[in-house]
Amino acid sequence: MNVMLIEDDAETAAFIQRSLTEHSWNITWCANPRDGILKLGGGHYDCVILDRMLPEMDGIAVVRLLRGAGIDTPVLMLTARGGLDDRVEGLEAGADDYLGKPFAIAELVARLRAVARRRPMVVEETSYTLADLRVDRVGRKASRNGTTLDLSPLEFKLLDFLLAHTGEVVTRTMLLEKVWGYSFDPKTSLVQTHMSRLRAKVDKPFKTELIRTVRGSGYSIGNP
Amino acid sequence: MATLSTISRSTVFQRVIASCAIFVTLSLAVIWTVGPLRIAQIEATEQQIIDDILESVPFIRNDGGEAGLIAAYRWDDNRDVWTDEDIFVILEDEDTLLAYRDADENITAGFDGLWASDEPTETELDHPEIDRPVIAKGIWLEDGSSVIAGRFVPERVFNIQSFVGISSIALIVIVMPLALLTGFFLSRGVFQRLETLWETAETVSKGSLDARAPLTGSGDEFDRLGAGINQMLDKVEALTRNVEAVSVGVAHDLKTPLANIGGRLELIRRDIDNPIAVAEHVDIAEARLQSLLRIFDALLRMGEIETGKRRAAFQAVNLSALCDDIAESFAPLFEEADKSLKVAVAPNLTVQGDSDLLTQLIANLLENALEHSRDAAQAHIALHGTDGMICLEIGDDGPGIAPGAAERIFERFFRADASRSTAGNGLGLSLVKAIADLHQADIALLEGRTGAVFALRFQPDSGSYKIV
Repeated sequence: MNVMLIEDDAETAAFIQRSLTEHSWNITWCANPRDGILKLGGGHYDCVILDRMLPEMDGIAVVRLLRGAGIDTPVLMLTARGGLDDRVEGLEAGADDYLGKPFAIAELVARLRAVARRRPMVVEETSYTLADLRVDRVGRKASRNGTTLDLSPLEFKLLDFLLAHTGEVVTRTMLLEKVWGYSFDPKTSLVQTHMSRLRAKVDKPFKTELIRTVRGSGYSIGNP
Repeated sequence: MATLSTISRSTVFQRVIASCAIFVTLSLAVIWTVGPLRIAQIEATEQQIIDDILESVPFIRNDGGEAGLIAAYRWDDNRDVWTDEDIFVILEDEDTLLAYRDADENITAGFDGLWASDEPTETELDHPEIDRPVIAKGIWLEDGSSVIAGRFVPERVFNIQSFVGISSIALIVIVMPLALLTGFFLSRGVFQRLETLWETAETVSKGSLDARAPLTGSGDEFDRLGAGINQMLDKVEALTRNVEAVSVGVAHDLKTPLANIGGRLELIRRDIDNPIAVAEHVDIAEARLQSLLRIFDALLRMGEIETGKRRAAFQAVNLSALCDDIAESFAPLFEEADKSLKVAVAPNLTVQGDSDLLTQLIANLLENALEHSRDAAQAHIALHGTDGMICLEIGDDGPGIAPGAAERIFERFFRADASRSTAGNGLGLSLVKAIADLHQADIALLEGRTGAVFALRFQPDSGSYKIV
């Protein structure tokens, strides 16, 4: 995967570069947003890691410029933690996802994968099938091996989100943001509790486990 | 200390002196204008009398000659020249002296002491018994002789003169020193009242934040000033205590996890050849890091909330739906902890607000109930409309918050458990308070409950302030 990294802080950039190279990704680092935009226009990149605070040009402006120039490379924006406005602004400008600094590399990797795989204009799925699991998104029903699963609305949403990211790692904060819609990190083990309840219904009564815990990262469904 | 030099610099003193000086100056001006005017007026009357007498002199002389003149002015008894005794008689009679001199200026008749002059002239009579001067004027007749009329300056003129003199001296000698004294005592009085305030300010600035200005209870301006200062000091003390709590909080709540992380890094170095041990250290260090970041998140978010900027993005939020959703998410957590969550939410209650922040507010209160309630506690979340307000109640049934701690629970880093051994960072409730404040919602810890129960009162969204 070709990743463009636009980040002015050399230490952060070096850290990201080294960590992502371990995943055999090809990282191009630009400390200057102008170089980054020029390179993005000229080459093929799967996604961009864009810092929100850049010299000369704001990250938001960079996204606007890219989108305005018809460059639709997925953008993951790095924002300050806890900032409510930053994220909304970033998404409105055309970024695909955001991540508060500081972050865990596992979180960055998971989000980059999700962002890079996202294809625009994908027709919304009406159902998912994974091994013997069937999920009817219209009727909001799930069954495994013909047995209907008795899921709460929240558990259904969780399963639905996991299936939308089949084969990808879904982190705890991704779930909090996308399934719960929370902009904060609760102290309590909210995600863990609901995931274990979901797994008790989806996996426990059956022979094969579909949902896996990815140590230090989050959860995944299906083979990565 | 009320020393002379400090008092002389006091505004009250200077004002008193200045106003007295103005008073004295104006008074002197009035006295020195009115007095001479009045004297001039009196003297003019006397001169008029003299003129009246002298006007008829030439006619009488022409008609009756020298004898007629002497007869007309009753220089009688053949004593044409007046003696000293005569003068006293004349004085008592009509205060007019007359003299008639021949062309050689020798006295012919009348009083030998008056000399002819064209203009009324004030002359002292060189006589031991007479203390008053005379205004005299003469008229020359055709043969060179002259008739002079004199009027004693009236007593009133001297009265006025002495009044002007005495009152000027009195004003300068008595009023000014009196003003100095009044100024001194007045400013000393003010000074003494102010000094208590200065002392309070000084004590506070030396670090005794609990010092307060003593009030006399009279309700005068000094009492009001003192009360105002005391109020300000209350606020300052509360803020300082808050800052202290924040400092202690930062010192403790940030240092402990940092120390833990440092310790774990040490252990990683030591156990570098033992992957299982390293993994465990990393897990713990990461958990500590998470708790640190949560503190930073909360502090940053509180700062962001307190700017009030979020208010611009307020929208209608269905608080009922929000409560139901969050309650649904949290109910399993209560179950896992062998506690329960009772939900009683009236439908479709809407407020103007920020749904992200309102979600955090409700979640924080539920987390608070989950973490700080007794074993097997029953927590509750209730939402209902009463008296045109929307009331949100979230709480538990024990053990509650100690009465002494109740008033400080919304302070940053404050924890009812001073040992800081329980979970939490002491920021949850201050964040709740900040969010409630942003939404102009009252928040209170209900009294007389067995547990900690928080009640919030929101203004319902009437839709009336939507600009179409």
